Amino acid sequence: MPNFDAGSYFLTTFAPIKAGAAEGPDGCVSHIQRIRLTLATLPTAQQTPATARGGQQSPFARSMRTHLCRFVVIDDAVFNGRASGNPILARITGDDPIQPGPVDQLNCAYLMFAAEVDAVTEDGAPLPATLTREQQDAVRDAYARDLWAKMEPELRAIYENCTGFDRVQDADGFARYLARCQVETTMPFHDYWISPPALKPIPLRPLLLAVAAPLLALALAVLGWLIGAERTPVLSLLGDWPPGQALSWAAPASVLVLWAAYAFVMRRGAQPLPPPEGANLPGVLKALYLQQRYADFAIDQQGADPAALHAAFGRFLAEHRPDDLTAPSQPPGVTRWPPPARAPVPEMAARSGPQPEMAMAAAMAASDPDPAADVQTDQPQTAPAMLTRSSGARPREERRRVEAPPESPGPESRAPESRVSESRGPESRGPESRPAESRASDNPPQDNRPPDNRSPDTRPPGGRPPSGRRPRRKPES
Amino acid sequence: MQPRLDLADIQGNVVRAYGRYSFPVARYFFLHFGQAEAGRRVVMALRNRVTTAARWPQEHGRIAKPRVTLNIGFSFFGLYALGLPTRTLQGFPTEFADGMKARAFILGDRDQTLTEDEAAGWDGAWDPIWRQNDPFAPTAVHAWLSMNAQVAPGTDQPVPELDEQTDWLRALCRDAGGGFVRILPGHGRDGAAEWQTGKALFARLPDGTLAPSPNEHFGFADGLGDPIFAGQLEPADERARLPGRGKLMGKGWQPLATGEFLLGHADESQELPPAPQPWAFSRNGAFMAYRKLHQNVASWRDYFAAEARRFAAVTGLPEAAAEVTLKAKVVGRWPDGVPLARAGDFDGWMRLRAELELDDPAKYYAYLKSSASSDFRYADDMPGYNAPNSCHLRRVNTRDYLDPLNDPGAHGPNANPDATTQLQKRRHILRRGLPYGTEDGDDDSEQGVVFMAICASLFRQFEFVQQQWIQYGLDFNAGNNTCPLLGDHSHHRRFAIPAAPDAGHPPYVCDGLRNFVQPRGGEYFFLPSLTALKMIGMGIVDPT
Repeated sequence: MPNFDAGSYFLTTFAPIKAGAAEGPDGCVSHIQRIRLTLATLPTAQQTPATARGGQQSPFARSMRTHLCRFVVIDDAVFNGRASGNPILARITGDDPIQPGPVDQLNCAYLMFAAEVDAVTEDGAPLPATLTREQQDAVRDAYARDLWAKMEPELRAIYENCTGFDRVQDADGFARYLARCQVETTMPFHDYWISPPALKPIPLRPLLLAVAAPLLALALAVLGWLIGAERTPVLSLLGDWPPGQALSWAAPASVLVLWAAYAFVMRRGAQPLPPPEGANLPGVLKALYLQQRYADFAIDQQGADPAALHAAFGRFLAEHRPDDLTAPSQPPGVTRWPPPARAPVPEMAARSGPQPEMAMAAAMAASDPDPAADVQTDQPQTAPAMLTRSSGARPREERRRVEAPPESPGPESRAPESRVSESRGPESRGPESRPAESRASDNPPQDNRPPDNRSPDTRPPGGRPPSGRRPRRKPES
Repeated sequence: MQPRLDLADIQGNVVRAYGRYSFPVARYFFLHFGQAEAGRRVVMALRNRVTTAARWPQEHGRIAKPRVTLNIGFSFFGLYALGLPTRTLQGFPTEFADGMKARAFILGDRDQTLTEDEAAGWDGAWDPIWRQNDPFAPTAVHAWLSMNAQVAPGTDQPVPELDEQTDWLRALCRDAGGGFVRILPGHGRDGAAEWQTGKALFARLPDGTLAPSPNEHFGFADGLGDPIFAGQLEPADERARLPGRGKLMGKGWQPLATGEFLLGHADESQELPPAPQPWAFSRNGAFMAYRKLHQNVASWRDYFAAEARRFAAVTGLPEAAAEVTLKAKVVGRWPDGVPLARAGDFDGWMRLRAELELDDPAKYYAYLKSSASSDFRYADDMPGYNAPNSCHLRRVNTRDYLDPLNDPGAHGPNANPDATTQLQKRRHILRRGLPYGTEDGDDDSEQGVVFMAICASLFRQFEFVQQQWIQYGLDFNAGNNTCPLLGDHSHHRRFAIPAAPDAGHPPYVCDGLRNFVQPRGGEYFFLPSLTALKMIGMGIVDPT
């Protein structure tokens, strides 16, 4: 059942979009346009430097079951061009080639929502190897209810433009709605494998022999019938069958065996792959977290003597707790953890000249080495990597934010009152944001290892002439 | 069978490198055309002096090379300024029309973690001529001219013909150009120079004379392993030089398809590379990326001196050997040019040097000239024990490493014997250029390499290698790590050196790499054939 494979559930839904337009504060806007506008302002996960700094997080990051998901607005079937015809056939059927052919159309526009999620009904539960149809439906409904609980306002804003959504009042209603919109996923793709799964191979040789036997008998019977033999060649060694009689049992036997072999292979193919070790979302996030911490650790410990390495590794295990999937770990929706402290861009500071906020921030940075001490002030704070630079002023006020590793990820952790970062709006901020804590404890200073992302070498030597030249063209991304 | 190329129609710098041994000094000029007609007059006059790819004549048993060469290329807006028809201009590829500055994000010249607004001023370190290279400004770079000159024997002084030709050029712009054609100044930090100088590093021979050395400013032999395409060399010459410099498709080393570098000929995918109309205009032309690459020699020295201490402790090598080993692992060759694929560690290198008698200058020179320095492959070292997967050489020419049928763990002389260069053969560039600047500088002084890459498709060849193989590491199982030599190290600063199980020490990871090489400007140019030059000069490019 392709909706379920390797412990994951592959949900594909098509929700019909209401036809026509509706009056709104921005004029008469069609429902399709309205959905597009809503989706355009829905934050993505923080997977690019700009979005990571922007601070907004996808509402799907509040879910601890969603690996990947996407919305696509499908206006209509794409016209692939006129079907080429055979001119001789057209003549016979009376098809006039100068008349336009049919153009396929969907009955309305659709909003596709597809998601790859853990096939579980509870966050963090182990992934199942097999699920019955009812259990799969239960997983889907549980996921729909989970989404409704975590992001009801966003779902309403999007789906209110879809037909039939008016009747959805609660989580169960949304689950029923998604069930109605569901389309079977015919090709799931899953690649969390660290080592290849242990699969039962199809017994190819016995299968081929089983299929070949009646087919061979059929072929011999036909041969015997063609040459008018009295007894079927070769098979006469086994029994005294004239070709006609041999045909009468060989033919249905061949059909039966072929069908049985086909059914066997297809049923085998339809069996879901077993779930890989640790491939549910908490496991994947923990793996990403450990991968980053362990890379830092291994590099730092190069050349250490065995006793020191042993002790350091003990501390590593105690601090990062590899067996504990809940904490410490990386939250959903980011590509690095902790997010990189943003290095200042000195060219911009020189170019745009000092501004009052920046001057104050620079003074603060120069004077106070520990940003955590100044948690209560209203001033924007700077991350540790910036503090040793006297020109550490950030060029634009609205980009300053506080980024720090939380002690426990997850949507339920909240930042303290004194968190200082300007917000774009009251909504999604995500689970992070506490006053920056130094990473010094993780990384004893090395000879030539400046803290992450400090890039003193990109500062050009000598005086910096003001540039003022922007690339004229928009570079392709 | 050798394809028949009209060598007299092709510009000489495409077919020949004007190598540092014959032409160790170069000047690169950049012109601006203020008026189409004046520009065309200048182009017509220049055409007669352009050095072609025709074989140099034999005189008295020696090949008579020109004392100074001349070659020309045009930027997209240079062709626009010369009045080419719209349809022809439309036929040029997008990246060429954009120009190198607008592609800075793709190439990694501009910080890829900053938006365009945030990165304003990113080209602050570029030379003034490149900072001011704005398509519609009076300082737009429209044409590139190169003069490669021989030197007086035993010295590093160019022959007087170089100055003569420079004066001739100035006079031409003044007279035929009528003041509308200008040589743009703006090279170097102060922006005063009228041209960019390229000059090989010179070494003093035992008899006191100077000779060009193969090295660049990091102390490594450069200019090895340039690819060879069909029709480029005489058949006998090609056979001798081909190993390691062509493609491996199961029939031994073969030259690359001509269309990989010259427009109008079939390329490796058996198509004609996209080119502007009319065919007569684009045939035998090529595209070139010109980049001035500054080398932070002090950062290079200091970083590896510091890192060598820990590397020496981990590997048990003496510190001097550890330092040169680290640098070699980054580059992919030992400083003398011996590839790591042939000698994976310091002792192996020393043994090979003794075996080949590379201390003898004549033998060393012969080794560099021969195919021995290029004839190796990577499929016999998939884990990267000799040449690390992420080292510079392996990134810019993957050879047979990416053959999807390779056994990933295979290592040894007989490993993956049938590996082909199928996935590399469309990613080659012809490297041209010379070092510039004085030796014994530091990060702030002017030194580096004037680098030129010639290919039929900047996007598919030069930009691909720059974006996917230099500024990214997925194909080498190195994640986001960039090329340890050329890559941008503002954010991704690691380089892993794998170690064989019997090496006696674990793998080593360098962290905190600095930016060793930084671009100081550049542009994309079209190198027209001689026919096209005439068409441009006469204003008769007709795309209908």
